[in-house]
Order: sequence, then C-alpha cells, then structure tokens
Amino acid sequence: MTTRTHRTENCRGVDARSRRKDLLAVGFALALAFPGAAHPYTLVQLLALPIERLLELKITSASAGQLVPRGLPARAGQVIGGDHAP
Amino acid sequence: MRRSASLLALFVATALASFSPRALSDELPEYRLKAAFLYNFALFTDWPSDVGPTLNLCIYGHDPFGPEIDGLEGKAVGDRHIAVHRSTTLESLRVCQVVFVAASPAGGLPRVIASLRDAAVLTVADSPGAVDQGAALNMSVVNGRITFEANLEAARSAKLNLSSKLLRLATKVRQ
Repeated sequence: MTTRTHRTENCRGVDARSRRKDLLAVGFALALAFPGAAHPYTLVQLLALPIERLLELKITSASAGQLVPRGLPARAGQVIGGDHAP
Repeated sequence: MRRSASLLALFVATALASFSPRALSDELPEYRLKAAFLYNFALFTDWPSDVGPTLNLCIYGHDPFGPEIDGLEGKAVGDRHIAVHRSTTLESLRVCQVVFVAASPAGGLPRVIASLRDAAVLTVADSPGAVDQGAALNMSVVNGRITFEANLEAARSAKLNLSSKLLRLATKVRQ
C-alpha cells in the first residue's frame, strides 16, 4: 500500500515536470513565431542595401549619434594626429 | 496525448518562425544611416591606382557617429579595405582617402578643404552649403530622409571620379 502511494506521488511529480517543460517549449516557440515590434536596421544590414533604398529610409526624430569625447577612440577607430582639435 | 499536442504546437510555431521575416523598421538613427552613405560614397568613387590596399576613412574633429562608424572597419571597397580613423589635425588628413567633416560651430570645413587642395581625398560633409565651400559630397536631412549633393569640380580637382549612378541620385550636382 505504501509502495503504491509512493509510486503514484512519483508519477504526479514526473507529470508536473513534463507539463512545465512542454509549456516552456510552447511559450518559447510562440515567442519565436511572432516577431513583435519592428526593429531598426543594423549597420551591417544597411551596407547590404542598394543606395536607392538608403534614400528611402527615415531617420528617427530623436536621432543623434552617440558622442565620443574628442581624442577618444570608440572601439576599433584609431586617433591620428595630435591634441589640436579643430 | 497532451504531450503530442504540445509537440505539434512547437513544430507549427517553429515552422512559422522560420518563414516569417522579422519586421524591420524604416526609421533608424541618423548617423547609422549616414555611415552607410559614407560607405556607398567610397564604393561609387573611382580610386586612383596609386591608392594602396587600405582606404583610410577619417572623421575630422567632432565625431557624431560614435561607435556606429567602426562597423565600416575592414569593409571591402573593391580590392581595398576600409580603415576608420579619428583625426584631430589637418596634417594627419593627408593619409586619408575619405575625410568626413561634421557640422561644427567652429567651421572647420574651409580649413580642411584648403589643406587638402589637389590631394586625392574625397571630402564629405553634413553641413548646409558645404558643397559651395568645396566639399565633394554633402549630406542633408530633408523630410526625415538623407539626401546628398555633389561637387564635380571638387572631385575632379582631387582626381577622383564619382560614378554616374551617384551623380544621378544626388539632389544637386555642382559642375
């Protein structure tokens, strides 16, 4: 009797775990299936576009490149020249 | 039964995900788009044969691109590859093939133009009237879109040929 009770509880535990896994899998797949909000082109994507298409794209109203302090390279760029900023 | 139903849902959703293109917005940061234009300007320019395997793209003075411009590092322009530099002196611009001068209250463009006179350098600006001041190309924002003007005379004196396609797409070509 005790063994049977243990077995039933074990089965319930396995059932609950596999249900959670299934729900997670379905949730993940649905999240993949719906693209959600549109996101802007990356630079790599822009470079692959013909120039005619670039002329059609709009800039965001609050657009401004991130400013880098004078003389400070941002990642790969090198600074050439001295300290005499224009 | 329940398990096979969720497996089916997973399969259907994955199939949908594979075939539905991710939506791309037509709105994007100004200087990301301008960086793409800079690349195209280099692409649509005939470079003299004495230019080596590296095409030096220099941002003079104020850098409005930030990290965006570094995405051009190593990109191919024909047989050449772009190297991005931030330049702070006029003398250092002599090693550049493309010089971008951002709009600045200091008005650095005339000095850049004067210092690069007759050098094989494509000068690109994004300030009103830059083409009239001698820049070969100038970008503007009109109705939220980037447009550009060309100065054929400036390009010729730099011994550079701008492609007919580029000139056709320019809003104004100064002869």
